[in-house]
Amino acid sequence: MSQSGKRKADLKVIILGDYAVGKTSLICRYIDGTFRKQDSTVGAAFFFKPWGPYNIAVWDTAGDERYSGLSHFYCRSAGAAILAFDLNCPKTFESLWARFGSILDAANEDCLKVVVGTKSDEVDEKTRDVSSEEGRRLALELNPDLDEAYIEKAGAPYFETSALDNKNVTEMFEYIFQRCLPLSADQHRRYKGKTSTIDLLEQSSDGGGRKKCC
Amino acid sequence: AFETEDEATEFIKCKIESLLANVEPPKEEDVEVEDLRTSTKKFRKYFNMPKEEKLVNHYSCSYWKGNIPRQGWMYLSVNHMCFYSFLMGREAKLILRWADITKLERGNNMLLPDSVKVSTRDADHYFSMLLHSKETFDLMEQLANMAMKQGMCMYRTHNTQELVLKGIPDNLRGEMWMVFSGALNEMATHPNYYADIVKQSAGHSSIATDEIERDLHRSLPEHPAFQNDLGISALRRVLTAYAWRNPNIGYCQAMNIVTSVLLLYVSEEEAFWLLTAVCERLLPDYYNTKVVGALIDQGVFEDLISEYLPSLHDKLETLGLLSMISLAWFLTIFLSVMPFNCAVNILDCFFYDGARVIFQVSLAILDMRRQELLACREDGEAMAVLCEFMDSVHNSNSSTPNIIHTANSNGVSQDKSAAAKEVSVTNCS
Repeated sequence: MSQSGKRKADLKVIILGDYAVGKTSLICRYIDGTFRKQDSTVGAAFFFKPWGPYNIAVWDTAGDERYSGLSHFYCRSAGAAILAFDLNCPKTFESLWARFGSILDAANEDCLKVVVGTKSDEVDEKTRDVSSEEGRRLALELNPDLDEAYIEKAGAPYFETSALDNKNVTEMFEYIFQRCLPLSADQHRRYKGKTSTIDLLEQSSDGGGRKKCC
Repeated sequence: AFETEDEATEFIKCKIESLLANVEPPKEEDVEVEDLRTSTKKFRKYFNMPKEEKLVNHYSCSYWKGNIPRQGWMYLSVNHMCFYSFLMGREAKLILRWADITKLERGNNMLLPDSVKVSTRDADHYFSMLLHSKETFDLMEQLANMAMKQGMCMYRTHNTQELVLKGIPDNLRGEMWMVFSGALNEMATHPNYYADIVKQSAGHSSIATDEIERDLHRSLPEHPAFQNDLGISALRRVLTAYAWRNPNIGYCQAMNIVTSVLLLYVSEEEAFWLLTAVCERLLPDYYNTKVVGALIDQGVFEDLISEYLPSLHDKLETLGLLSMISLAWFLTIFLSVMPFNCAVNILDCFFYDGARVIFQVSLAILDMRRQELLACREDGEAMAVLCEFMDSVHNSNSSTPNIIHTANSNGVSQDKSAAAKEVSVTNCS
C-alpha cells in the first residue's frame, strides 16, 4: 500500500460525461468489483490500477456543467478518454459532442476516445432513443486514426455497459489498455493469469486500491 | 422542613433582615441617584464587572440557595442579573447572563411570596420577597428581551475556541452551528419563511429541480437516514426551497452533500438557514455559475502557499495539482474527501471561524505531506499521496460511527492506518 504513493502512472485514463450518467459507478465496478451507491463527484477523483507491468491512473470527473472549466486540467496528457452517456437519456449522448469535444484538445494527440453507454440494464430495446449504430458511428468519428484492420479485429471503441450487472465493464477497460499499452501474448498469459486469480484480494492488500480524493 | 436547628435559626434571621429592608423609608430623588452611584460601585466590586457594564437597578430580595433563603440584593444590569448577599460571615453570589436565561416566571404563593423563577439551561433559580415584584419582573423581562434582540447568545472567548477545536459533542453540534453561523438569528427574524417558500416552490419544475432530483440519492447514500423517503424528502425540500430563494445559485452539486450532513444534526428549517449562511455569508459565490467564488479562493490558496509553504509552491504549480484538489476540498468543506467523523469536526471550526478554516486545514494537509509531494514526478502520484493521507486521518474521540461513503471505502484498511498513523483532525486546524 505504501508503494502506491510512489508509483508513476504509465497511462492516464479520464472519464467524461454528463452528471449522473454513472461515471464513478463504472470505475468502481471495474476496480472494486462491486456496485455501490455513490456520492455525487465534486471536482475530481482518482484511482490506481495495475495492468500487467504497468500502472494505470484513472481520473474521474464531476459531471456538473459548473465544473466543466476544470476538465482541461484533467485531460492534460491523457492517453485515453472514456466518454460516458446514459443509454436511456439521449440528451447525455448529445452532450458528448457539444460539451466534451473541445475539452479533449488538452489530451494527447493520439488519445483514444471510447464511447460508452451506461445503464444498459435499464434499456428497453423497443423504446431506446440512442441506437448502437449511432454510438458506434460517433466512436469512429472521434477516432479517425484507427485503421479499419484494427477495428475489424478488435471492434470499434464503443461499448454498452452495466455497472449494476457487471456487463461489458471489464471488456471496455481491457480494450483501452490493450490498445494503449499492448501486452504480448506471453505477458498477457502471465499477468492475466495472475490478476484474474488474485484480483479481489489485491484490491484490499496491495495495488488496485481505489483512491478517491478530490 | 428544616433539617437542623441551625438552619431554622438562619431562616429566622434572614426573615428579620428582609423585613427590616422592606420598611426602609421612601427616598428623595437625589438620594436615589446617590444610591445608584454607591450600588454601581458595589455591583462592580462584588461581581468584578467592567466599567462598561451599566447597572440599571437593584432590588432587595431573597435568593433561595438550597433550602435557605438568603437575604440580599438583586442587581440588574444591561447584560447580567446578579445577586449578592453577605450575612453572618457567609457570602452568596450569583451571576447570570440575560442571554443564558431561557425562561422568566412570576409567582406568588405561601411558600414563595412575590417570587420570580429564573431558568437557564442548567438550573432554576428562585427569588422571593420582592417588594415591587411586578416592576422588577417587567424590568427583567425587558432586559432579557434586549439581550435576545442584540443576538448575543455566546461570547467568542479563548475557551470557546479551544472547546470547538476539541470537537463539539454530537448532541450540541447542531445548536452550536446555528449560533456560530448566525443562522439562529436569521431564523428567529424570519418566522414561517421556510414553510412559506416550501409551499411556493412545491410543484414547480426547473433545471435546478431536475438536478436536485438526480442527486438526492447521491448524498451520503451509505447513511441510513438517506435510505428512506423521510430523509430524501427533507433533503429535496431544503434544496428546492433554497433554489427558489436564490435563483442566482439555484442548485450546484456539493450543496447536496453539505445539506445531507446538516440534516443529520439539525431540523429541516434549521438546515435551510445553515445552508443559507453557507451559500450567502460564509462561502459567497461558491455555488453559483462556474463556481467562481471557489475559483477565486483557489487563487488565494495559491498565494497562501507561496507565503507559508514556499518550497512547495513551484512544485504544485508544475503538477497542476491545486485546481484538482481544491474544488472538492472547498466546495464540500472536506465532507467528501475525509472520513465523515473527522470532517464534521472541521465543520465545527468552519461555522465558528468561517472560510479561513478551510485555508488553514488545506495548508496543514499540504505541509504534513510536503516531503512526499516534493518527491512526486507527476500529478497522479501526488494525488495518491494526498488520498492516502486523507484516508489515514481519523478521529479517535468521535462517538459518530464512521459512515462509509465514496471517499474512503477500502483504499486503506481502517485498523492498519489507525495504528500506524495517528492523525487527529484537531491538529490540522
